[in-house]
Amino acid sequence: MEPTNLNSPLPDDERLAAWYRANVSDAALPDEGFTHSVLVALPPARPSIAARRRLFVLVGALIGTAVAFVKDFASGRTLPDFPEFASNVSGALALPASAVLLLALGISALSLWYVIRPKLNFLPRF
Amino acid sequence: MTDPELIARVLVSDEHAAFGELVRRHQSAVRRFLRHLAGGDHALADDLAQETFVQAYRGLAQYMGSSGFQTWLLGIAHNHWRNARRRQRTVPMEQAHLDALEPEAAAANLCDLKHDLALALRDLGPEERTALHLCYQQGLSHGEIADVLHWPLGTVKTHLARSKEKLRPLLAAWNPQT
Repeated sequence: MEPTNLNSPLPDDERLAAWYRANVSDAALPDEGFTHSVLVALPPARPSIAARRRLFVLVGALIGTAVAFVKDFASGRTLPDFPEFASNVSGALALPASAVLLLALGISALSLWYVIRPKLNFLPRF
Repeated sequence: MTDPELIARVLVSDEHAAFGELVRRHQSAVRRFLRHLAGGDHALADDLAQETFVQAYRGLAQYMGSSGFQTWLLGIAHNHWRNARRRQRTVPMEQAHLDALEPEAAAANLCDLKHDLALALRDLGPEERTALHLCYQQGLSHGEIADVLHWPLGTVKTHLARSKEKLRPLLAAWNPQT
């Protein structure tokens, strides 16, 4: 290809840009594993706020339970063995007066479901 | 999903997958810019590009959103390249890009526009070539170029105007008569 005319006017900005893009610029580069290499080089993900909140709730519940047990021991009361405990619970559940207990259990179950729901993909989300 | 939405996901949930999408979107622009700066050394350019994205990940909370995300990335890339050049203390790396361009053009056709353009670009200073690349190749505005290179806006305009003034007479023969 030859220059068109040696006495041509000077090219304007648009023409310079078009020449540059056509002759100097590189085409868009394909990824070719570059993104993967970057992701491998990233520092490990820190626990998210949600994960930290879940951990906080879990640890809180465990500490609360432990404190309740310790308080029971300190007051000299002995823990019921499991059959006695189970019969007490089933008895309480059968009584209409235990509505408050049912409500408490329901709230606990809902709270636990909320906390662990992201990990349980088979459960419905709403 | 837009860039700001992906950035928010990375900041809130530290999602590597969201950051991966940002890398996929902007890797080409960052790598092309670094290849331009590093000349024919594509391996060095890709290493610097990787460092750029890792640093961007670490410092994402500092991204204020006042400029485009890509402009911010190109600014980090330019800093990395400057540091690498300072460490290596070799010949100006960008010169190699022009050296690499020339034999290919010469082999094709000595009167080719590509060849003339490569020769004309040799007459520009490195700053002028970089400003021209960001303007023509990356399509950045003058203000964005100033952000990337940390130059005053007036300096960007001066370099661009000078580079165009140098190129015009050298390429005038290719301009069709009106």
